[in-house]
Amino acid sequence: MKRLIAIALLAASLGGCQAAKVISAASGFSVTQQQLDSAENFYDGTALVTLSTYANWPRCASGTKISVTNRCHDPAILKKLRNADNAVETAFIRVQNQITSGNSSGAVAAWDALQTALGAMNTIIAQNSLGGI
Amino acid sequence: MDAATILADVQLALTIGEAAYKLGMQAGPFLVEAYQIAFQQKVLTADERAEMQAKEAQMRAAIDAAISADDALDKS
Repeated sequence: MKRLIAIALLAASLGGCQAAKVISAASGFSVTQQQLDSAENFYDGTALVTLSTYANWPRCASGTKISVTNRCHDPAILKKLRNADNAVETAFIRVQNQITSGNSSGAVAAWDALQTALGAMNTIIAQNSLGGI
Repeated sequence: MDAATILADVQLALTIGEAAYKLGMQAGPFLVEAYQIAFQQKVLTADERAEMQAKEAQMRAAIDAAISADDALDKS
């Protein structure tokens, strides 16, 4: 399941990065409400749902690790992931605010910050070897 | 391969399948929505956006509750 989390987060990040490249490459192009809504739904369906499922599993007993037959969460890792998710949530709100106020350049900058926040989450996954099951 | 090993493998497969099914049931609606917005020109209404954000808040509340429970256990 940890691998699933890693894949989901990786997919969310890669999807976002591709979108960011398009935005950066196209002169005068700005982030639209539809792009934001699609990205947020994609993030919810991959990262947030998986994180929520992970959190709902019981805490791993001392000295044990998550496995296919031992579905549990590591409190320290869960906290790190929630903090990273909090940064992503804030970044989504900033993009929304820029779109709402009609600030195209601000929306693109906020979108870039969103990619950074997603990247930070991926780093936590990699540092904790969550893809190793 | 003996019967006990086969049974254990089947039970493992069922466990994985169940987890994947439950995750898919939760993730599916979000991914369908993302696809429809991105590729079928669907536009979210204010109500639909509010509903999405309410679901996000619900999931984050569940995560925060688990973290609080962990913290309480660590302090006890």
